[in-house]
Amino acid sequence: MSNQVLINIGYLLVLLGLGYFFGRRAEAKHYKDIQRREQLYLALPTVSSEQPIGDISVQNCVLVRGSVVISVDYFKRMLAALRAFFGGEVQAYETLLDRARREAVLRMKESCPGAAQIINLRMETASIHRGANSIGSVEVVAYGTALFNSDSDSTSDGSANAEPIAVSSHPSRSGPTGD
Amino acid sequence: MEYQPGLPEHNDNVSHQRPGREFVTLMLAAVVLILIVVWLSGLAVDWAVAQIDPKTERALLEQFSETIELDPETELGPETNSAKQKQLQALLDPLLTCVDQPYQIKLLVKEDEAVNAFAVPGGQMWVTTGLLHSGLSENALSFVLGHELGHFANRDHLRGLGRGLVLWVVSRSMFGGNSGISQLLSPSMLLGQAQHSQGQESDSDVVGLNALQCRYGHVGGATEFFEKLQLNSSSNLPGLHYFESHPQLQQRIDNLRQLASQLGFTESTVRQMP
Repeated sequence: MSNQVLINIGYLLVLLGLGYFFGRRAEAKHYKDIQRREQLYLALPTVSSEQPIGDISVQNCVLVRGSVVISVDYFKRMLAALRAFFGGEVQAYETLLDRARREAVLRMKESCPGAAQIINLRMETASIHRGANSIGSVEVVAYGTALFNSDSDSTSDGSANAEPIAVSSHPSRSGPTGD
Repeated sequence: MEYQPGLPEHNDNVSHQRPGREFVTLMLAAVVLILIVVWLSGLAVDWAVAQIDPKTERALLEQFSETIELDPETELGPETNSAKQKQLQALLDPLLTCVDQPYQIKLLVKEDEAVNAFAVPGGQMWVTTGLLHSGLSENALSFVLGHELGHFANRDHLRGLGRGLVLWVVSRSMFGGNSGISQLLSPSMLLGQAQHSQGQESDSDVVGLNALQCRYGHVGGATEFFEKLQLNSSSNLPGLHYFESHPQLQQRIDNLRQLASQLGFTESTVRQMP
């Protein structure tokens, strides 16, 4: 009986160790990548205000979004389970959500090359898991309105090249009388 | 309003603590907590067991009798009503006068290769066919039966059941059903329970020894069962015995011999089973 318990414990410790090692490695790699890309897209103003910043003659605007799903590793899940009993800040999940938010914003920025600015930035977070015992993942969606002015180079991306968003392009909203 | 591009120098949304240290600290706190809970629940169970008389116990267990009783088709061996069982009953009957215990014992033979006997809540004593065929002498078998009677006298089966139930509930409610945390913490629970269980086994050994002296006037054959087990057992890692439900065999043998000499019990020739 005790041999069985030792085997179980050893198995769990190996899982924990693997989770810790690979989780940290993935995290470090991801942060490095995030920092590099954030520098790259620093010049694109991205704000949560509903009005454009400064004087801009908007030629067209596009709904842009970026989303990412990141899984928590085994070690962090265990740490969070312990934390859930004792209470306090779940620091184990902080980097997970930080990475997800920044990655989602970056993907959103990358989706609209040539945009002058992105306004009305909003974010949504959802947890993806199958019951309490499965390893959970977090999804973050960032969305906003990309504004293109006449100077913007909007030819490099199909979505930005589209006609200005017309209400009539959505059948459900095609007018007060409907279909 | 002008837009100033820039990135923060520090990421204030992430705590820069070492997660490994946090894990170890929380784990140690959980282990300490579990040990305290195990100890307290043990006291509570002991109190509760004292409140339940054997009649109530049987009445309670009748509701679960289907799970407690052996399946007559598959598990009750062909020897259940055989001469072997009658022999066993003949061994048990005189021992009942030697051990003061509150149950009406029902003897059952279980089809199982393992050399073992169990005291089951409600007053059932299961003896495996493996034990019957192990070639033990009459005195050694009497010691095993006496040892199980000791469990009934101390109502260990009920205590064990109660503790197991409490621990199960505690671990489930603390860290959730299938969580690996519960599994990681299981040695601390096992440690708490094993120490108690080892104490129970030693107490029952004493009862068995006294029963043997009462029945035969000497304690020959008392250690035979353990010696036989010792021959068959494989060696474990050192230190592992702290987690076992039964004390180490050599220690049990030594304890029995020491106790016998303290009480002035002598050994004489044993009777072989026919």
